[in-house]
Amino acid sequence: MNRYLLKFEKTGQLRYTSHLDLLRLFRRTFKRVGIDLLYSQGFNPHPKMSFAQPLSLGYTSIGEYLEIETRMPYNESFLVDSMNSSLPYGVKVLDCREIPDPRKTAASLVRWADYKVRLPEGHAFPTDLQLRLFLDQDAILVSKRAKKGKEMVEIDIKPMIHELQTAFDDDGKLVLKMKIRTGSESNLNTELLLGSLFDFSGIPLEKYEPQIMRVEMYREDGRPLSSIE
Amino acid sequence: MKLDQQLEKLLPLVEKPGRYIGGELHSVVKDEEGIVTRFGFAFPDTYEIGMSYLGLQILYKVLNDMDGVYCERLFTPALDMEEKMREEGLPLFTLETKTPAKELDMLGFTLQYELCYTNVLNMLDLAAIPLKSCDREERDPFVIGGGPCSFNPEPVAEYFDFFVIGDGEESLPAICRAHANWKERQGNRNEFLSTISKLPGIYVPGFYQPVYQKDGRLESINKNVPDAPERIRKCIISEMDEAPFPTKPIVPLIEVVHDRSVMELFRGCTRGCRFCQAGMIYRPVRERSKDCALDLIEKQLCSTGHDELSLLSLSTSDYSDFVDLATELVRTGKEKNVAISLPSLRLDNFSFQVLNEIQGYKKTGLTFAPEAGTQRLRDVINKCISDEDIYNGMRQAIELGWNSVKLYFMIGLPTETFEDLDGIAEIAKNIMAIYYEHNGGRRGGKFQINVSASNFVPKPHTPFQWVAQDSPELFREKHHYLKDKFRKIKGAQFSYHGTEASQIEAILARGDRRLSEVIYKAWKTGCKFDGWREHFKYDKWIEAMNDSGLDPDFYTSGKVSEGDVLPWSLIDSGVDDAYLQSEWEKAVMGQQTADCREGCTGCGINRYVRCEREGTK
Ligand code: SF4
Repeated sequence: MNRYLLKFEKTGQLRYTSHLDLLRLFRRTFKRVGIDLLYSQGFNPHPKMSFAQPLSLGYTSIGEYLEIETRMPYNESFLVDSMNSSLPYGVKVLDCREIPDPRKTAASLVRWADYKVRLPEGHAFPTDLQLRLFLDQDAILVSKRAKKGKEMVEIDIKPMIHELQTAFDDDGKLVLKMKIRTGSESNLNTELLLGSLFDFSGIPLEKYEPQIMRVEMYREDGRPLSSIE
Repeated sequence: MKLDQQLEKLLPLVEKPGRYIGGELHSVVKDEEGIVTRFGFAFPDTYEIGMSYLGLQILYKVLNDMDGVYCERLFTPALDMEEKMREEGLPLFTLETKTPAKELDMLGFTLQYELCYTNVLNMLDLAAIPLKSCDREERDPFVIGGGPCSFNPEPVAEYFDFFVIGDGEESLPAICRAHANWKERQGNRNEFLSTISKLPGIYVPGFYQPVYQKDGRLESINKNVPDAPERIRKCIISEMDEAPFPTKPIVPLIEVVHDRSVMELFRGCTRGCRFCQAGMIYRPVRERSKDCALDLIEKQLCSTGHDELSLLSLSTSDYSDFVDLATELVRTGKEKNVAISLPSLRLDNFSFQVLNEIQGYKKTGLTFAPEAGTQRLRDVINKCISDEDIYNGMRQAIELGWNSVKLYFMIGLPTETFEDLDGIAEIAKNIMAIYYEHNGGRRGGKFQINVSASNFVPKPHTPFQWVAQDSPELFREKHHYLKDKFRKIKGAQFSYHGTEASQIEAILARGDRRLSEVIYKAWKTGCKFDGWREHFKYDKWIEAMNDSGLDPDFYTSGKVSEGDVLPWSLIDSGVDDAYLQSEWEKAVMGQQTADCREGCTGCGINRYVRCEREGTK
């Protein structure tokens, strides 16, 4: 079996396309460049490819993962180059590794992710003190809609936050960095956290203001998803 | 604030922001240096609908292949986006470079259905371009209309500077060349219109003035400008193999209605169904050769990575090389994991064989359009299929394992009686009986018949252009009548279209220039996306008619087309008036007219172009 894990970025305007749009985009790109994916058997065959973790519409990322199975073995750097020769502006494959077999799917390994939040020029961030006070609460209760149905439920998101701090980014701009629960087992919605934090700090925040970027995804032990022993 | 910064602020707040970003694979980016003509291709509906339309892809390629021309796309923003744009003062913009529409040289709307007219006004308004041609200034773009509705452009005549009638592949480049010349000699607006009015297929409505009789019918259409052409003959491209066709169509980033490669096998149709406007105005049949079609398909699939391919034509099985082509496509599909979809097939042995191959176990999507419930009425409309054909086809489908079929009918066809409606129910009943018989006489089982009834809308340039449309009341009565009948047929579902929208469609289809005001008032009172059932506001339209002193009945009763001068008299579709007249007379007598592959039936288009399929059967 030939399984590969592709690390890629999704940037620019492409962030306004959905998870399913991206899946279609990759499927067509594989077809265009002639990389033969393995197809499922059955009445409605579809290519074997899946994302480690869907990225919300509107987010950019420099740490996305796509897992594929191909019909024959490919050289990793060939995979990267041919994909990049045909992907539209905004998606770029950064790395590719063969996944040794047998091994769990990427999706089942994701536990944490780093995010970086920018705000429009001049917009206030919570101060260090506010951040500490926020994290020092016994519980950080937020209400969210229950999975199915309409009622709101209260949950404590404190255990889902591993790291939350402001920092200066490479270009000298202030950003909010966070490492939070991500994955199919437990997933903290970034906007839920931001809403709660900014509320707590008494800073108004409009829905369109935060620009959120996913930076990397990790396993439980803290190693990035891309590290394959 | 720059337009894209403003836009950036709105995108996180609207549904499906991917509609407004552009940047798709094969969308064209040109260096603005050296561009003389900036053309906006405007589709008056949402991105998802517009991007599924092949004509856009063809003309986008044609224009962008020209040096000095840059064609970009514009669509109608959805209601949530429109609201935000108006709040922010963001004007209608092109997807490629986010340029305000007002800054373009030309803005070409494709008019695919009448119920998009309020969207056209809305887009012009969002672009801050004066709505009426006569109010535009030297710096405003020229607003152009094209597509099937431009065969009777009168209801929207005042909003367009000119219309392009017929195939656009050759006329649009000619217009752009004229534009470059005109720009160089720094002419004025009127002079440009005057120049291009001499090109084939160009209709400048401002050069003509309709005169009405007391009862509202047309008296004459007078020229305001002495050298304006007497009639405007549609443009026809004659060699399909040489016609431009996109091998690198734009591949949308978001899901659109049809996410697939499309091959236009041929334009036109030889069958001559009397209700069908497309069958009349796209004459004659012009085919792409099989080799050319396969080559283009191959290139398209390679450049897009699509996993679905659909053929486009009015009647796919009529293609002269159909058997070979279909066989080849079935093979390609299997080889490349590409799903093939073949619309409008005849239900003959070969079609079933092909469908069986490409659908495998899925066996969905079998559709079939008898259009009318009795042989008598099918003779009237010249839909040449017999009961026998229907039942044989169905028997075969059932034997091959199809579990459902969708049947299309039209309600309100000329001369229709309740017996014809009974015929529709009868057909459904008989198909169920065939199924039971196949099932060893057992009733029950899972076979499904979905009968969908649309409302007949008389269209210009057809033999039925003179006839009345049923009133909404009568339509409703007929729908209820059928609904009732279908309640007793197990396994059959009956669905029908909104009657009110069909009435407005009929008014606009055969309307005259006085309707400009009605469309304006309807739009002003909130009508847009009229083709969407959930947005259509019938009472606003009727109010707009009343306020303008116009009677809906006048337009639907057929009065508007009494007499010699019809609102679309200036437009020459190539099909003779005398032919339409004689087809109408034959219709009333229930006489069929043969498919002209069996011999020319004299529609008149061969005065202008050779008919390659004439007498080939
Ligand atoms: S001129 Fe004759 S052959 Fe040509 S489309 Fe008309 S009827 Fe058919």
